[in-house]
Amino acid sequence: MDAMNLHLMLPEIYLVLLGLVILIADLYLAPEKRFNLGWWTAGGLSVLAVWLFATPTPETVEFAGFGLYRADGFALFMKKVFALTGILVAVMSTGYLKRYGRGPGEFFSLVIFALTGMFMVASVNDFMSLFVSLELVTLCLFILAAYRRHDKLSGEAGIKYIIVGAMAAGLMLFGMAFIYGATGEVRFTYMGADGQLVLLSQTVANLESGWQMTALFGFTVLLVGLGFKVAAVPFHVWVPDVYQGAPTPVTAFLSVGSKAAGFILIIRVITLVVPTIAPGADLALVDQLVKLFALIAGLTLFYGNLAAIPQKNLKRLMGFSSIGHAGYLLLGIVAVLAMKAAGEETMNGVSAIAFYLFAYVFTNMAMFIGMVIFTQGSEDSHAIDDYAGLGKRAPLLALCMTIALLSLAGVPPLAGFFGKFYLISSIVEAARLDGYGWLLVLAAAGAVNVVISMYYYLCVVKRMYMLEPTSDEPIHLPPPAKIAMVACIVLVVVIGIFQGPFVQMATGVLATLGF
Amino acid sequence: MDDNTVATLAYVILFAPVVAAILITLFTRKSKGISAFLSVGSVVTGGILSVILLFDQLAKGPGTPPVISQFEWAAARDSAIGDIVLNIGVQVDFISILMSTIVGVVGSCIFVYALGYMKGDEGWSRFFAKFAFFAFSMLGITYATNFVQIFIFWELVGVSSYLLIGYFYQKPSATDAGKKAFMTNRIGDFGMTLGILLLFFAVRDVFGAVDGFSFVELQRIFTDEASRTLLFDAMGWKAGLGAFLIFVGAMGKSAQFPLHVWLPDAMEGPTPVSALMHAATMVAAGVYMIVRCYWLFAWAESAMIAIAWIGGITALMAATIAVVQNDIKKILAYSTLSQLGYMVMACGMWGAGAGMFHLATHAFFKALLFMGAGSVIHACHTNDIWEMGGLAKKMKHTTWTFIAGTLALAGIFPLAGFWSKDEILSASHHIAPLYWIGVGVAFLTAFYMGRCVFTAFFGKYRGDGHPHESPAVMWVPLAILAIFAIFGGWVGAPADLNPFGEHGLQSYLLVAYTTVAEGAHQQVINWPTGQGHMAKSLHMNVAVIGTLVAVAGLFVSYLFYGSRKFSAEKAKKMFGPIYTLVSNKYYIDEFYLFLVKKVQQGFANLCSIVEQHIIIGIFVNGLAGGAREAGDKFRKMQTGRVNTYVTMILGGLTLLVFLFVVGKEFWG
Repeated sequence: MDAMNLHLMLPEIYLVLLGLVILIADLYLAPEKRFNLGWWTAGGLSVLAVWLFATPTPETVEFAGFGLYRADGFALFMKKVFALTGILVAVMSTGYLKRYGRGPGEFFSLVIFALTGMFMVASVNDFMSLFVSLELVTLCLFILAAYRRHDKLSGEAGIKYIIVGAMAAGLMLFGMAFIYGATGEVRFTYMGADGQLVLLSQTVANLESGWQMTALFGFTVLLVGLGFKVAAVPFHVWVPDVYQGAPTPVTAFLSVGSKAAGFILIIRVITLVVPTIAPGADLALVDQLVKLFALIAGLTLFYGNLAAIPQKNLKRLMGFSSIGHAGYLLLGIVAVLAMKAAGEETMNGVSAIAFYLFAYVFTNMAMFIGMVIFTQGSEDSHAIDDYAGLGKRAPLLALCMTIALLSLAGVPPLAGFFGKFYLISSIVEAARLDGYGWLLVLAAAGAVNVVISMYYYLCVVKRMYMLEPTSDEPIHLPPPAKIAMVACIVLVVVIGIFQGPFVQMATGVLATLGF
Repeated sequence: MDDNTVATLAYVILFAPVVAAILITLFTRKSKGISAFLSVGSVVTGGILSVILLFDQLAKGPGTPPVISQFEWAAARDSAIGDIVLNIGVQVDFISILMSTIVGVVGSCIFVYALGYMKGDEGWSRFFAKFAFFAFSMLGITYATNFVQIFIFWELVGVSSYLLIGYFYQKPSATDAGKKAFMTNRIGDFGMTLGILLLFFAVRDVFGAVDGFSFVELQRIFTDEASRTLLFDAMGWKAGLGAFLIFVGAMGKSAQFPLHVWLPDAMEGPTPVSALMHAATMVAAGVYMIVRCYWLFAWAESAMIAIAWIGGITALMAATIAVVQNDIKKILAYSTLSQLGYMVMACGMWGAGAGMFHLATHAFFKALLFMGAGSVIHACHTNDIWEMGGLAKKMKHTTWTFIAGTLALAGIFPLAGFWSKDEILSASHHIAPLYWIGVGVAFLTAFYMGRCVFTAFFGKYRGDGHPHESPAVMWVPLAILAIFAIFGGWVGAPADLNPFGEHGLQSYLLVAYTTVAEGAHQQVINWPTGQGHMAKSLHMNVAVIGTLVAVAGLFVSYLFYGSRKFSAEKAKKMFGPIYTLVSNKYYIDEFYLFLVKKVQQGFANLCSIVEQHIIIGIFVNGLAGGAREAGDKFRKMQTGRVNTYVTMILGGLTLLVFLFVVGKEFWG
């Protein structure tokens, strides 16, 4: 516990070095060769991904950085997700930046630094490291969102993101302060006086009721900060504008990476800081949190999916859809919290979230790569109507985007369906607990929203196949992006049909979660 | 042979055709030769192996315990009603081997014949793939170990039948016939599903963990006096209902009244299909199932009476319709219906052995007749017997084999049909009306077959083609089947006339369905009517009456259509209204059409109104409109102004704190 253990942090160190190499190489490369930095990034991240996938899932938790950093199965799993996201973002950005023609060096190093932040997020074991890691991610993304700085929408996206983000960060810190005030501790796990590992949740469980209220207030305010990250209603307000204005690859990065980071932190907080109620103990705090999260999950589901219906811009639609998906992921959180409130350490909600995020990476990335290919790297034609007749203009592109949309909507046997299935079934499982039968309403809301989301996703598909093309300009599919997109789609189908190994991977994270 | 070898052989027989079907569909569609080789080869292999198994079984003697090999296919454990395990496997005993031999041997002859009949057809490979797939489905029924498996293959037989009836899919009448067959069968299958489930749950209620699908387990329960009484007491009237519902499945497949309407239309398929499926094997599946599950039916007396009467009605009705048909395949189709009715009737009067025996002999001579008809159609390019005539001189082989089949079907001593028909009439001896129906049907059978033979094969040629004998690949299978039709019946003859004496077919059959193996110990069951013994000698009065009416039938048909002493036209006029009724097939099709068009359509219209106005109008469009409206409202919340956003976030936070933190204090 009380050691630096730098070897555990090698992936993060590797990432920082990779970012620096890109930044320095940018200075020495000839201007026209600088755009190859995208391939450097993708290559470097692929090495990292292979490395991570080759690492066996740890069976015990190890700590580094004097207890600020933890290496466990969940962290490893999420790092794999981030590495894959990074590769796909790098691949789709390369062509995009060539067209835009500005500063690839900074762009890719910012992507890598944001990834470093996400890697740290996956391994946080302390409120301080939580805040710092998350701010590293957010600061990089502020810049990336405003990367097309001559474009009014992009600038607006950056400004809005930074204002709302700064406020969310402030609130988050405020919440942490209250929890610290109640418990006197910022570390999630630490060595107690008797040399035993202590969980912060045990400290919370032993608080007097007055201090418990303080902690509950702290959790609520902290949640607002994290809710901003994951786009939970009503803290989602920045999402549509930023998603629409940011460069498309950045939107993709935001929708997958940033959201996953937020969910990791929520999971870390509820597994390590929120106590599991021992049978017979009176601890209203957890029960209150279940209701709070259930309310937010329900609102997020309905808001995201209903507001997506009237959208005319595909990027904006994806923004609302991403809010809807946050609603589904919150179902898993509610399930875990309900289990904790009933005194059970069943974490099926977490493995469902892990599986969902893993599937979501490929589904969403395929969709965004398709959008980048379609707009040929510009930001001009994101209107849904422009996709009319895509089935005739570019059959492969239309097919891939259709499968991605169907998976997002949750059509079996695609990956997205099973993600939703596991989340909803974790909620149904939680609804069996005494006093939590009302959670079935939430499960039903999840099912109803599948239908609603089907509508607006299929409206896009309808335009691609049922309407006549408005332009007969051929669409060029650059080979690297095409390969990445098809690979994503193949994985979407494969994960859907052969879930076994993937589910196993997702449930493997549970072993080391709560220590 | 030890049990392992037996089971392995059964698996080979079962799976060879489906492997052939898959290979043909995936790889060899283009090369006709390989496709035909695979398909025919798989079935001939199955036939040879079946015969080997049959001889093995004969050598082992009557009452050999069944060999059962099965694997778990799907299971739901710890469900609300306990474990449910579904098995797939083979149950090899005398009954299944006999059926598999019929399918294999008759099938082999028909597959070879099809090589000639289908020559030059575009869909050659498609045909042979489907044909092999059918053989697989049929063998799956044959070797099934439990109700779920038999039901699965029951459905597969339905599917392959649908595919093959509609083989000439360019012809609307063929696709219609396929649909009709499929839908009619579905009605039967639905009843069967209900029956299987009823039985399963009743057994589960009474005996707990017993596998209520497995034939062997159920047979143990039903044949043991104590457990049977327990079950019947618990089920009450539902016992008879369950047995009858399972029989409804057999009514569909074996085309019993009132689900018989699909079989005559099914003649739209290629003639080899009619011969194999709609005469010899598939339609026999119902009878086979009754024999297979005889322990179930035998004690459900009310169901048995219903079964016997349904069989009798089918036999009589179909025989009368056959008399007025002009299409040679339709005559044979109605004749098949009538003979199936015969078998079912026998089963319903505790004569399962007679039913199974007739199934076997009928398979051979009916396949022979159909293929003979195919050969004639092939030569004359018409189905109408009035456009044939005098074919005896032009098509020698076809003619003598067809006549052999006719005599066998009519039940002339000593051809195959005589022995099995005699068994059936003996079995029905104790319900007088049904016995006389049986005798009447025997007369009608001889009459309509005589009419067909005298019109088509004798007299002057009335068509305008130049018919000539079919190639050897077609008539050699006919000759082989004719030999079976002539001599095959002896194996089932009563003991004193049987070449095998006491060890005839009947002794095996009787033992097969009257005993239950409890390890090495055999338990002989006394059937409700005490029929558990083998006929030692002919019932002379039954045999004489049966033969006399058959000869009379043939003679009368000779007077009408051979020597033309009597005029068929005059007879038609004499029977005016009856003739109209019969030639319109008792208006059953019209009645069903009325049900579908008026009753069902009316109900559908009503549903449509409900759907249009209530479901779509209120629920679907109303909800969708609401969703769109809400979406629009939400969209407007997204003003794009940062101060709105910040207000929303802080407002939300305040609300949450109020609801969950402060409110907690307020409201306790």
